[in-house]
Amino acid sequence: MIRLTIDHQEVVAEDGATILEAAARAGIRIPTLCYHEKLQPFGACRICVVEVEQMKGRLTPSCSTPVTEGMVVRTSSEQIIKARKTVLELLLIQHPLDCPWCDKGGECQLQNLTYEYGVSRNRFKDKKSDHPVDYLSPLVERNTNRCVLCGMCVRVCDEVVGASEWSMVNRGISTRIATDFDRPLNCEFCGECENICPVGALTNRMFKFKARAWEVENVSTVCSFCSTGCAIKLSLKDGRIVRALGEEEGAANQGSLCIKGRFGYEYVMSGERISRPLVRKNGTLTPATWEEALQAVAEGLKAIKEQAGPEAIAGLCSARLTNEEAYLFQKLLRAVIGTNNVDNSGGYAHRGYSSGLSLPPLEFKDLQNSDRFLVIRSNVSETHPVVGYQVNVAVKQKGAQLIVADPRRIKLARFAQTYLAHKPGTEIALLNGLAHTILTEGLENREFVAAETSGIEELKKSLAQFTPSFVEQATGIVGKDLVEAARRFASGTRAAIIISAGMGFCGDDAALARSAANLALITGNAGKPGAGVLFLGEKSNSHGSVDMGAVPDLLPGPQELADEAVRQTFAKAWGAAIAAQPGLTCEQIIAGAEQGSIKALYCAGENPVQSYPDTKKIKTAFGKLQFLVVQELFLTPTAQMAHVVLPAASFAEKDGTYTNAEGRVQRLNQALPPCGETKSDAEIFCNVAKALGKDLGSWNPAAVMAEIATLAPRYHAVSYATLTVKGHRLSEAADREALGADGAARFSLRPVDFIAPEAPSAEFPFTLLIGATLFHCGTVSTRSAAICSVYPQARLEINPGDARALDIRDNDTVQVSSATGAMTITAKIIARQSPGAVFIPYHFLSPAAQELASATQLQTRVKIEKRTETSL
Amino acid sequence: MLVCAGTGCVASKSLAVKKALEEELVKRNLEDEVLVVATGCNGFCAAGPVMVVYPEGIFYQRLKPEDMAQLVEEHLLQGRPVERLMFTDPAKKKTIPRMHDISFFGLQELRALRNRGIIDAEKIDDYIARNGYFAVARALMEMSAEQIISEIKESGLRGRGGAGFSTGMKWEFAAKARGDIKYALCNGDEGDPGAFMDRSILEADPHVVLEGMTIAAKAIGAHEGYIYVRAEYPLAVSRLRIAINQAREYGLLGKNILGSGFDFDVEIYQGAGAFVCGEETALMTSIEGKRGMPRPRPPFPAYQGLWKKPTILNNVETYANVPPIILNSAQWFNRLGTEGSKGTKVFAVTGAINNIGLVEVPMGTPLRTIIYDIGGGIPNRRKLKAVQLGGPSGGCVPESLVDTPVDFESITKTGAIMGSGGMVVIDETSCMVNLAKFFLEFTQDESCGKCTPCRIGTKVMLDILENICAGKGAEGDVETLEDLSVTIKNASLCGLGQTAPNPVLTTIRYFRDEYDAHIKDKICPAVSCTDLIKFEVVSDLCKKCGKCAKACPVLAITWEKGNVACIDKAICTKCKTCIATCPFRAIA
Repeated sequence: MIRLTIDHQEVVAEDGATILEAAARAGIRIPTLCYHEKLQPFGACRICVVEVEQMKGRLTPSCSTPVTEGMVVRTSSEQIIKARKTVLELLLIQHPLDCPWCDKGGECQLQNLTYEYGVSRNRFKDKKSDHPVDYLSPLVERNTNRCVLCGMCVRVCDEVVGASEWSMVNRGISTRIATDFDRPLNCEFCGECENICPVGALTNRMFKFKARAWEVENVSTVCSFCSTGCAIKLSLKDGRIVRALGEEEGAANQGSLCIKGRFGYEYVMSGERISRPLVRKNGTLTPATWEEALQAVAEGLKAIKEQAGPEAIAGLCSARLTNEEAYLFQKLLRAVIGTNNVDNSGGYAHRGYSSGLSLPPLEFKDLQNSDRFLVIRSNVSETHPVVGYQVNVAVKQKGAQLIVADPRRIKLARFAQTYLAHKPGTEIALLNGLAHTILTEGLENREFVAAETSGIEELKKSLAQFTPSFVEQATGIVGKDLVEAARRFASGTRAAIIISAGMGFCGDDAALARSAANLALITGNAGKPGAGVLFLGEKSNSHGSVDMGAVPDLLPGPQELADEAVRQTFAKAWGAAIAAQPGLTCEQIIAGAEQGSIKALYCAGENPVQSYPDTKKIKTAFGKLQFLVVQELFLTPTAQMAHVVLPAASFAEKDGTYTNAEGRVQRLNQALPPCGETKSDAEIFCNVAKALGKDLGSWNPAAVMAEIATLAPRYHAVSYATLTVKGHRLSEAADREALGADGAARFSLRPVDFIAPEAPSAEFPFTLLIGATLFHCGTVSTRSAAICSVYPQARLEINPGDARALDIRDNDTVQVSSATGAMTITAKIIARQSPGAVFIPYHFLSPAAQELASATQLQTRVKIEKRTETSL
Repeated sequence: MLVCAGTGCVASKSLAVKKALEEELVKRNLEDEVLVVATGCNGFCAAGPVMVVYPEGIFYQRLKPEDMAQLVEEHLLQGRPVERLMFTDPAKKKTIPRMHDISFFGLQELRALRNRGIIDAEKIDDYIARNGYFAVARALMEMSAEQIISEIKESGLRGRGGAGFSTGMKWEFAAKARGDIKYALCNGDEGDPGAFMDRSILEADPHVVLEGMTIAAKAIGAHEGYIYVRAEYPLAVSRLRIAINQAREYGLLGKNILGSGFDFDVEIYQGAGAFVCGEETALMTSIEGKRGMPRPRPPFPAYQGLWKKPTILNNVETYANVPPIILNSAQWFNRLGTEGSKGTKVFAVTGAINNIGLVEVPMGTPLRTIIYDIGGGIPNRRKLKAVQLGGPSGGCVPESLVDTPVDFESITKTGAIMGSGGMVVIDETSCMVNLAKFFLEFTQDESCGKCTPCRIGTKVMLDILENICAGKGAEGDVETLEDLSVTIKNASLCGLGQTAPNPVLTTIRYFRDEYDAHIKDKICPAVSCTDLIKFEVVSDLCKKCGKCAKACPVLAITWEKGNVACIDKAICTKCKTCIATCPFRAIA
């Protein structure tokens, strides 16, 4: 600790703190223009200058100067005030002073400082800056005439986002911020630059001329897209959302957002929302009252239950329902209908964290303390961009080392010390190979393994075959690189393994998670900040949905359905017997529908016909259902097949909680009234139960969470009423308790087999990678015009070499066919795509990538042909 | 026969002279008798191309290829040096055959430039023959890092790049800084207008820089180094490259240098020409591959420099001073100089002076000696008005202070700075306001644009100076300039901004009357600012010689023998040819 004096006040500051930080801690405000706590000190604006007795003769920038023992600082004096006023005068010379129509008006730092320092006259005059305004860039408008060259856009884009789209160009008075050759923006469109801009140089085009800053009401809630759980502020005017801002207090994001969070909210206000219940009459979906619709649901379900028993009914829910809703949904199925047939996210996506992981998740903020990263089967910069920012900062600013294993040369590969381009679908061989190398080279953490884990001998035995040469054959990674990666990983003290889950990733997520957990455990990477495994669920409440038991084999907690005592507890609490037989998984539900054993399906927010693999098969299966209820925001392809469609409220129109990938329970706060006659999913579930003659209790989220807290041990400490925007992180102690004691050892090592994907055939020589793009999440983002202005439709990403061989050029139309389907799509030639594999994002209705995928096979093999005029 | 192959002489075709000489020697079958060496810059650039013929040490100047036949015939075969190609003292009108009798050379003390004009820069053996790499041998084999640092500290060597920080202390900080990787960098991004000291050393004696860097590397524990050179110095770059390769071949760079177990290697990084990249943090940012902009200090580079590793950066001339100190001792070095400034300093003397060139003099030598004795005084019988020292960061020392000794402290007292050694001599025909404007144009253009005071403040100052020169100055402008200067100096991020107002402040301090004349009387006393010249002939001064009328390119001047000339303003294009031509300064 360092003692110093600021404005005659004794102040104690941490080692390495800057004068500005020390002053802020002491409650002394120093004005700034180019400082942001997320960024490295820059020292450009010179507004924050102070006097330091030990550095006489010069004004000292407080933002970049570290405190030293005995320092005597003055933050305002005649000289300082004069310098600040002069700097403001200088900045205002060329500034257009178009405040009346500038969208930053009211929240502009230059405006505020000018007012604060009373700079009402300017001694200096010059022509006003007259650069053309960039109206061509999507989402962000650039007016460099208003720029004060604080450099924050350049720095946030480089230091935090890692996109490096902006740069300063030219020198002296001609210095400007620019893109390469001043072209329009072609970047990640996260809007971080626009958000951080202290003036009106970069503004949000969606917000343009929508409102003055002081007119809006801000509601803090949680982003509805991925499982990062970014806290956002929705600005409201006249009952509409006019913009979304990152909430600085948000624990997961500290104010950062990606394109989806910042620009993706429009779907909430889309004119295509279903606003009234629909009931199929004479083959067509017809608007109906809630009473009619609920009655139809009740009758339909009752009939099947009576006719074929509760086992003929199943429920699929979206991983975007709130915790309370997911809880009520599974309760509806288990306690009211009497079946465990409930699942979510295709069943593919949640196995990693629902049944794979044996150690608690990492906390995002601790990624700053991680010194090693292994990013495998995770394009985290696209699936969970804000987590990607953290990795970028840790690697570029804090010197962490990064290993990226991905068939595609993803963004993070650029910053990686080791990049492993393995064959698709061979992640487990690679992870086992890393573990094998670490154990054979004696690089494991022996103390930790002995004290904290069980099963090391069995693990060693199972890993014996994963020699570098075997792994090379399986994955295509040469032995030397594998060994280097293993050594790099093992040499860290806090290593984080990052994996993404999602509808795009077929394969055995549970095995993948176990394999990753083994690697973390043998190297002692558990139970300390910044060490462990992050298995990132795809959607905003992917993790909460599992916690709430919206899966066939777990009850809320999550607790094992197989456990008799657990079942008893729930049976008592719910006043209904719980079937001991685990329910059907998603794949089994679909198979059941196809075979006729499943006769009724309740889809709450889930859209299998568009987002699950092998959509044709699903469509056929759903066609055979006797009764299909779909609860949705939009008339999705699934909803179009329904017998009854129940209109649901969006995330912005309801209260509740989400649990993010780091295990943080966060509050959603209603910003808008539900659109039309829509109701929250919670209310609908309770009404359906009522129509079935049962009472699910209150649908009020506070009451539901209170019930959850009594039944789910991990959620004991969650109090809905006191949840702040920072949320409540489910503690590690509770996690451990929930995981159960494994004798003396806290963690168990579990051998994982590797099943090699079958080799591509001559007929289908390419591997199809289906996944998420940066710009979309699930299918709902395709309903946001702003996002579609940047990424309107799916394109096939293909390696330049493969494209050449097939005579495919950029933007050519190609035909892609697999054993299950075929489609035409526009090709995008891109070097990051590995040879022999192609990538298609799955979000879109057409062309729908999931038509090509097989639900049963780990890898989809396809052939690609150039479409010529004659073949059209 | 030492033919100068420095950039100045190469520009005046010294390579053609060398070729002609060699052909002539072949013709006369003398090629085995006579050794022709292409040396680095001799220093007397104004007289180029130059050649020195040993053993007599005869200095030839302004040579042309066609002179070679006579030179070989007369000097080599007949033993009669060619007088018409020798240097003539402009004051005494006397021919001076021997180089060391010419005061330009005789009064200099060559240390940093000790090998100039003597060795072939592209031959490491030449350098070694002049005790080259003996210092590095001693430093690596016989001295500890602490001993090297203490020797350098004791010598009193201060950075020759401008700031004059103690080199030994800088090394000590970096040596004590914790870090497994450290860097020793050389700053060859010489950017002051008219300055070419570093260029000359790199071109004439590149090995001395490598040797100095290796000694520094040993002192701080660095194993990698970069030499940051402007890409506009192609000859320096190519000679450095040759030198590095030769040194590597000889085991003087790379792994296990001279079997000492010490590793050090050097890479060249070519700067793209931004002046600000001479600032240490900007230079490091540039090497990192980013836009060359300065970073705030602290952290100082000795602790967090290149790639955040402990780093020292020394100027070319500083490094050139290191080997002799190690070889000859600190006492040998600090015998020369003043209390606070030891050793010698190289100056690039240019402007209104007869002997334009590069001179190295002991610290403390009065300006007068440099200008009149070494520099040969002011041409065209004009009067000395001021000396601009230290380039755009420096200031103007008026004629009244011409007895100021050149050392760090004395120059700082005048308001100028030693800087890297730029010395522009100014005569009475130069306007001091215009001069200040010139330097502000330069700094404004070269400001990196990062910090507000420098980016916008220098532009505002430049605007005011332009107005004053254009006759649009207003009362209070000088005060505004002074006021703004204070903020720019106090609040700018790096040395560029912190010193940018110096030329303005010193000209206001010593030539306030010129500013007032521009602003109040709308007159440019030096008859330099076009907008303030009436383009009228002053009858009292006109000697009716008619030179102006003959020189006028647009025939705007009428003159008859015995009459005062008359300028027709309707035709005059204000090109100022007449003013430059008139020997009597009779046009105002």
